[in-house]
Amino acid sequence: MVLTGRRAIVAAAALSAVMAVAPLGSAAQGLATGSIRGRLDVRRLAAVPQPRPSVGDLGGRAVRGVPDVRRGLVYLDVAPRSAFDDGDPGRAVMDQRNETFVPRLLAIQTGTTVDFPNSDLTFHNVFSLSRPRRFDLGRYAAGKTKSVRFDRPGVVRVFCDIHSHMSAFIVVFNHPFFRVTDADGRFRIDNVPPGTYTVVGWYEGEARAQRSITVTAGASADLELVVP
Amino acid sequence: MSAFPPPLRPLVPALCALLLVLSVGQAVAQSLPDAGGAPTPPRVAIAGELTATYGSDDPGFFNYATYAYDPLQNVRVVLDAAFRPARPIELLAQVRTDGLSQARLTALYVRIRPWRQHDIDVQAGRVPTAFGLFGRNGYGGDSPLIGRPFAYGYLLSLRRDAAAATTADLVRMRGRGWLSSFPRGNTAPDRGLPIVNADTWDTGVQLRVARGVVDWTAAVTAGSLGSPRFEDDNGGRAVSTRLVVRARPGVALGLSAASGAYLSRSLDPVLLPGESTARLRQRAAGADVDLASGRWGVRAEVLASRWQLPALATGPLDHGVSAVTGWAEGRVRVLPGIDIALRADHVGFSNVETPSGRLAWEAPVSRLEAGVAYVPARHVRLKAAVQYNQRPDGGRVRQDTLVAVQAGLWF
Repeated sequence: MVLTGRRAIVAAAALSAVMAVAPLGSAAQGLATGSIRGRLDVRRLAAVPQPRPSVGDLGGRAVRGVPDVRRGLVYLDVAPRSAFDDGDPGRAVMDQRNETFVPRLLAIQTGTTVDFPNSDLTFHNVFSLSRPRRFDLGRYAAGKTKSVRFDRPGVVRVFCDIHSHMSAFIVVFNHPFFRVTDADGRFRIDNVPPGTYTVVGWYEGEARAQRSITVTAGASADLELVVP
Repeated sequence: MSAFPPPLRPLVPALCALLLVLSVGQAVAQSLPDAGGAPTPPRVAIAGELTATYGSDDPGFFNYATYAYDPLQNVRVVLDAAFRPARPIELLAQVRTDGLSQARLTALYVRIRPWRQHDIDVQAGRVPTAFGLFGRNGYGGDSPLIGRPFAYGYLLSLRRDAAAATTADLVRMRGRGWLSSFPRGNTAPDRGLPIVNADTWDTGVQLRVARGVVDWTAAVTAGSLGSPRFEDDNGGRAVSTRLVVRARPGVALGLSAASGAYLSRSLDPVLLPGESTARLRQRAAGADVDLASGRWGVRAEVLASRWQLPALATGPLDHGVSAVTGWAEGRVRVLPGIDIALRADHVGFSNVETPSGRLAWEAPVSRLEAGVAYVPARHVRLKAAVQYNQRPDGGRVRQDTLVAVQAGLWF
C-alpha cells in the first residue's frame, strides 16, 4: 500500500502529540532496565513502488533495485521521562542506489543528521514536502553527498524529483525507544526502564497495531504485533 | 488531428477495459521477491495525468498547435500504460483527450530489448519522435512554463494538402498558419504545419543504441516531422536520427536530423510533370543542450528546417523555403516545491522574391515567457505563467500578452 501525504502528516502529528504527554513508565534514571523483543507480523506486504510507463522514452531503462517493503517500525507510544534527558543522535545514511532509497525506512532521533549519498551514475534530487522537515537538496551527481538535520519529530516522506518511483520514509522520534524490524519482522528494544507501555507497530506510513506490555528490570518482555 | 485510427476504433473500449483489469490483477499480485532474488518485472504499469489550464484568449493563435482546442483553455487527460508479456517485450500505449472530447491514441508501440546485457532497443508502431529535445512530452511536468517552444507546435502557413502558385501567395498567408489557404490543391482554409509536431507521433520503426556516454537513435517512419502519419499518404518515407552525448551527469549535448516527404498525395494532380509529392521533402537539423546542477537547469536548442515546394508559376524555388528557430530556458528551484523559469524563443524565415520586393515568406515570431510552479503535495503541481508574443510582420494580431494558470494531478 502506498501512503498518502495526508496520512503521513496525520501520523506525524500523532507521533509528536503522544511524545509530549507525561510518561507512564519509571522516571528514575539509573535503575536496572529490561527489554522488549518480538515480531511485527505483516500479513500483507505493501506493493513495491513501480516506475511509471516510459512511453515517451526512446528505449528501455536500466535495471533498478527493488525497494525493501518488508520492514516495519516498532516504538513506545509514550516514552519514559528519562528518555528525553540525554542523547547523542549522531548521523545516519540513506543511500540512493539503483534508483532506490536504501534503506527505504529509516528511524532516527531528533537532532540526527542524515547523509544522502548518490551511488548511481545518474543525477538524483532528494526532497521532502513533509511538515516536520521540508527540504530540497537539488540535483547532484554520483559520489556526492548532501545532508539534512532533522530537529522535529514526525514522519518525513522522501522522494526524488527526477525518478518518481523513488520514495522512502524517515521517522523522527524525540526518544530512543524505537527499532526498525529486520526482514522477518523481528525487533528488540533494549534499556527500557521498568513500567507499563503501549507498543506501536508502524508499517508503510501508518500505525497499524498496538499492545500494552509491562517491562520488568532484568527481563525481556515478548511481544507479537500483527498487521492484518 | 487524427483520433484513433479507424481500424483500431472498435478496439479502444476493450483495450481500456483490458488494461484496467490487468492493472487490478497486478496490484493484487504484487509481492516482494525473495531476498537476493531477481525482481519479477511488472506485467502492467499504468500512470495518468490530469491538467486543467485557464488563461487569456489567444486571438493571434500564438499557442495553437491544432485548431481543435486552445492550449491555454484546456483540460487534458493522459493515460500511459505498459504491458510486459515476456521479459524482452514491452507494449506501450498512450491515450489522450483534450477538452474532454474525443480520446486519441497518441502512442502504441512494441519495445524489444533483444539482449539483456546490451542497451539496445527496437521500437515499432506509433513511436516517440527521435528528433529534438522537446517532442517526447515527458518534459511538460518538468518545467514551470505552460507554453511550448514555437518549433514544436506553432502553425506555419505551409499546408500538406495545398500549395502556393506564386511567392505572393506565400507572403499573403504570413502569420496565418492557424487557417491558411492556397490556390492549388485543397483550397479550403485549414491549419498549416508546425516545424515539429509534438502533439502527434509518427508511425514506423526505431532503433536505439546506448553505450557509455553515447545514446543514438534512428527511425524510419511514414510521415514527416511536421506531419506525422499513421498511414503513409505520399509514398515517401521519413528518416530521423538523434545523437546524445552525456559528457557527465547533468550535461547532455544532442544533435538531431530528419528528412521526410511532407505533402499529401492529393496534391500530385496539380504538380508539374516530373514533380512528385514523394520527392518534396522537409529536411531539418538541430543541436541542443540540457544542463542541470543543484537547483539550476538550462535547456537550449537551435534548429533549422527547409521545405521543398512545388514549382511556382514564376518558376521553381531552387532551395525551397526555410526557417531557423532557437529557444533557451532557465529554471531554478527557489524553495522546496517552488520553481521559477524563463524562456526566450524566436523563429525567423528565409526571404523570397515577390512583386513587392524581397520578403520573408512567413512572419518572424518571438516570445518571452516567465512562469512559476508550486508543488503543494507530491502529486499536485500548480503553475502560473505570463508570455509576451510578438509577430510584427503578419497575422491579424501582431503582439499579445497572455497569462495562464494550470493545475495538474498525476499518479
